[in-house]
Amino acid sequence: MKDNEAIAQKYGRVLTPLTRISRLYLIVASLLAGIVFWSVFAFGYQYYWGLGRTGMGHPVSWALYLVNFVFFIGISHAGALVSAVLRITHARWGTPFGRIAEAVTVFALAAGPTNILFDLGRPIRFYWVALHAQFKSPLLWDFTCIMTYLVGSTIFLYVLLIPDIGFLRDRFSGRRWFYKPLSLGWAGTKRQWQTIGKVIAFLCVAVIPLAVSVHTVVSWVFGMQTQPMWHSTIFAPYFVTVAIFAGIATIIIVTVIFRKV
Amino acid sequence: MYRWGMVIDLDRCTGCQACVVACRQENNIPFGGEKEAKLGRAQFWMNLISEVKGTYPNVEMHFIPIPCMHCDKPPCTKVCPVEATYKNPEGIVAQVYPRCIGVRMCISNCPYTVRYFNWHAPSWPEEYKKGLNPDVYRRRKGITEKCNFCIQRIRRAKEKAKKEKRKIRDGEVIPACVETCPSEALYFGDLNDPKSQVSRLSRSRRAFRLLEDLGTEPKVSYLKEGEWYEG
Repeated sequence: MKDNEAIAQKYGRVLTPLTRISRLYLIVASLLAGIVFWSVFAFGYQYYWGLGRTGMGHPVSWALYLVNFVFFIGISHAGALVSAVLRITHARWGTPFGRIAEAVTVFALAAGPTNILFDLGRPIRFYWVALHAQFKSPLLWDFTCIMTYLVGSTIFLYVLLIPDIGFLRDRFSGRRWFYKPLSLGWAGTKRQWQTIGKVIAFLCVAVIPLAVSVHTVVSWVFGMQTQPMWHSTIFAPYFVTVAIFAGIATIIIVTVIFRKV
Repeated sequence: MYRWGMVIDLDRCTGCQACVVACRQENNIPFGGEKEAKLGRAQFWMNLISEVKGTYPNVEMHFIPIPCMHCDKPPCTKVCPVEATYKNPEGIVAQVYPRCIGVRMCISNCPYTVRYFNWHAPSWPEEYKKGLNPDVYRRRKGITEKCNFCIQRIRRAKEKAKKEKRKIRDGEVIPACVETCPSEALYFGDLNDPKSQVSRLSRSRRAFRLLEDLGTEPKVSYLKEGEWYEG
């Protein structure tokens, strides 16, 4: 446990936010909570009065919701992909970005498809896409890919977090009930490190095709429309490349904020 | 098996919009109003598009009524993730209203733009409500709707024909738009029956289909204007 204390001293700056709440955090959190409550109200309003309240019409049937969706899917790309590529190429300098990138992926993926939910005429029935699947529809595959990617990147983030959760379990004995099941009995033995190394290597390879599939599917959903200017196959490579740029940019921005805080 | 189709004679069409009104009456299509129409939310299962050619005094008016084309290879049915729209065995591209979840992908995938979305709960003026057709489902908000060749009339005719153990005769069942057309520009019938008026007219030399190069194979054909013989 002495070793543990030394680590705690070293990473004090990272660990303090877990025990103490700063004023800045409270301000930011309340601001964001305000936005969330406002959105919940707005969604209820739209749900009750119909989708017409959004101001969408026939030629503009994709408005802010779809833009938001594509934006979040785009920035979600880089996260897991960048982190996986950095790990596969053994780029040591990239390790600190890995965690940020994966977290960005998971949260962006949680935010993106929610917009699709708002965009539906009857959002309460969204699960019918899974129940009454029509396999020719690109939207079904869109749904499948995004859900697979969300699950995949959540597992990826979680597996990488296991050693840290194990450490936290030893550090905060009062929160054992929370960390103990999550750490899956992590003790830091050599054999455990070997196993987790294998799992991470497998997940790194698995996440890359998943990320590419999500972006090709999303872009082809747009490309398949018989709308002028949209009916094109170039969208898939375009979305993938743009997503990589946008995602890396997001990681840089988030990193800068983290460094300031 | 029937294969329903329509033929629209553009030479006979006077642009009176009686078909539009009849369709609205038959199928309980809600009124949008001017404000909604400007946002592109007006619902016309049967729509009349007009075109003005030339300048005064040499002005030409052209009209083209546009119902759902009921394509043999419909691009709209393939993209629905929940199979709320499908081509039924008689060739009608039908919409299952309770199944629809309002994805609106079929709307943006229809090259003829004949699918309409219920942006609000449908509403009618109070005095109009008594005139609503009880045979037709009143759509709710958040689902897509479209022309279905007055499928309720076809069903009734089929039941009657079944009772009398015969096939539906040519001209026995017609949608509201065909029934009401004062200049008799619209024809409706079975395309599988080579002797029916519709199948004869759709094979005539004047016949053409809209956006044929897309390969959707519409079952609504038009007869060209200005050629005064029938093939």
